Amino acid sequence: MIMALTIGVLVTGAVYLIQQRGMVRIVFGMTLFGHAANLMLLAGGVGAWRGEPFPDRTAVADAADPLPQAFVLTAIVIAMATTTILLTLSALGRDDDTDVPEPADDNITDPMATLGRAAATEPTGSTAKEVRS
Amino acid sequence: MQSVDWVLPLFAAVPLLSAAIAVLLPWRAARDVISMVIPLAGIVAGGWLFVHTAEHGAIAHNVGLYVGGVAIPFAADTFSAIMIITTMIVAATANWFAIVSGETVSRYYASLTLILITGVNGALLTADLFNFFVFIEVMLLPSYGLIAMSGTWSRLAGGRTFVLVNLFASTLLLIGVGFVYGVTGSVNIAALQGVAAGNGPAVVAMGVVVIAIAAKAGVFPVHTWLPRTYPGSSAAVMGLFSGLHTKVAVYMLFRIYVHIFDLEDRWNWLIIAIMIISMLIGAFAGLAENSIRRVLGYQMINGMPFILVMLAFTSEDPQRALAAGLLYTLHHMITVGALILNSGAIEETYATGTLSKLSGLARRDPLVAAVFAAGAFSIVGFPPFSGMWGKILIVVEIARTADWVAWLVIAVIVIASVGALLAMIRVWRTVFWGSPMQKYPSALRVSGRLLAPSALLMVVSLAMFVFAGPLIDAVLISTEGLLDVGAYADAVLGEDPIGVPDMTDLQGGR
Repeated sequence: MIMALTIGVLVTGAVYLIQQRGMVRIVFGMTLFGHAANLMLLAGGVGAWRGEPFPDRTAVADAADPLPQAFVLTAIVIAMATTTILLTLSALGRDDDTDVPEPADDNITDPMATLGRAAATEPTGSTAKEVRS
Repeated sequence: MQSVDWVLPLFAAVPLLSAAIAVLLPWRAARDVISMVIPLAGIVAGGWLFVHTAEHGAIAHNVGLYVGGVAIPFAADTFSAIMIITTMIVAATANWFAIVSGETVSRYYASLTLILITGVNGALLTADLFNFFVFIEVMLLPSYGLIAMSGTWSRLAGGRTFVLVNLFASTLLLIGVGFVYGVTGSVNIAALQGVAAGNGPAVVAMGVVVIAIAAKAGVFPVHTWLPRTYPGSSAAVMGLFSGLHTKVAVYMLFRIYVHIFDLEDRWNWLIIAIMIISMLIGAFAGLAENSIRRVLGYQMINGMPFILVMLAFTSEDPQRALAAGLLYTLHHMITVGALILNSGAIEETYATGTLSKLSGLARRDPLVAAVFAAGAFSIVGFPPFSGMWGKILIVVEIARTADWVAWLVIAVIVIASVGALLAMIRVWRTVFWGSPMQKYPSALRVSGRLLAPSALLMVVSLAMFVFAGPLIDAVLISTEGLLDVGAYADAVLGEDPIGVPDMTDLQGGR
């Protein structure tokens, strides 16, 4: 019961935070969602108290199911790596606002500016300049 | 017979090791060579795997040689093999384009694509749902790097959406796999044979998994992220993603539906309803977009339901129905890859893919126009390109059931194809026709080096049209391998597997 309630609270918080505009809040939301997922995985094993899953320390009848724990361990590692990427993405750029009105590439008309790397060898006559807004 | 199943882990291990080598090498040329050699070797290895599995049936390798049911297996049948061949063709061409367009000037580009290839090979060969999640993550983490790599604001915004959507879908996949383990006690696809048929609790758990994979495949109503994020990345990266990400999801949906849902026909109405909407949205939403690659993004949405709708028409002749879907998958990977790399060649030269800024390219770059026209013909389904056989096979197989649903789906396929035709004509009219552009130096042309990768893919598409006979034989052999679930289970589980769930409780009401 406590497990189900905790998962419910975590998912509620995650949904609320993911709907915010700022990237950092969304990252927090994704972290909460990841925690909820991990608890759900643990609930896939036996919910009641069990011994550690080492046959030499605990009788096999008392031991916990090691597989959900292994799942969660893998998931935590992956979630941590992804959170790092997300935080990096939120730190790049002018602010962490996720609402970007107009893609800047569409406003670039000078082939030397960004994308025309391979065209740089062609005789163009124009000079490279930043047109980024 | 000498057992060769130990080869399977190498499909994931070799690209991963070469990614590590590539990141250490200080010479760009050496990194470029590695990023080309590995996918090319993947094509050869995939061809060998196809021949071997066509002859000897499915093979599987339990890593660490644990007993079946406990081990984490790699498994391959002809279906996995043909997908490996095609993904590696697209990956090799996309990497070739990245090399000629100067994308690989970044030191990590080669390594990231190689890790992506690792994840694709692993996901196509794993027989374990949790390991599938892990390999999906192995695919996604380098993709996050690739999509944000070139660092314009649009790419960063696209990168954010891409990371968030995929992370959310992955977490949902993880939850689904956890539920599957909770209710059945196994995550081994071979051990879960038919577990989601009937009304057991595993149906809900597998439903969560399917929703998560559908989000990755870009199926309505969880498709909106795809045309908003892919066009923001560079053309080489988008070409790579178009062939790899969504098609791995399609592969897994096929595998799950055949193995775990046992091709149950009670979901047919749901599949058909979703796929019809998905077809129409993919066909017509592209008409509102403002750049070549955004239009192509919606063509990716448009192609997916043609493939997946075949899952709803398997009651008569599953082998041929799934073969039609598979043939369309292969055609779609090649054709969309060609179109994206073609528009990439235009973008690299003229610095924009915006429809309103380009015009008159048919006179300026006739070869580029020819390749684009060929790709457009193929994607709409005109001869002489692979799209025609793909669509004909799908329509013929759907017509086999001959009830009103079949006619409805065929009608929608025709309407959606007309929509795709309109989208392609719009691009053709604004970009390739019209008055010559004034702003660009008159000497500026799309160089042949940039055009070559997409031209090669269109030649492959043409070959798929000309050699349709052998190709259709090959896809029939592939779906025969996919449908031979018994041989797959025998290969994966071996003799005396342990921990295989008892179906009597799980298939309630069947």
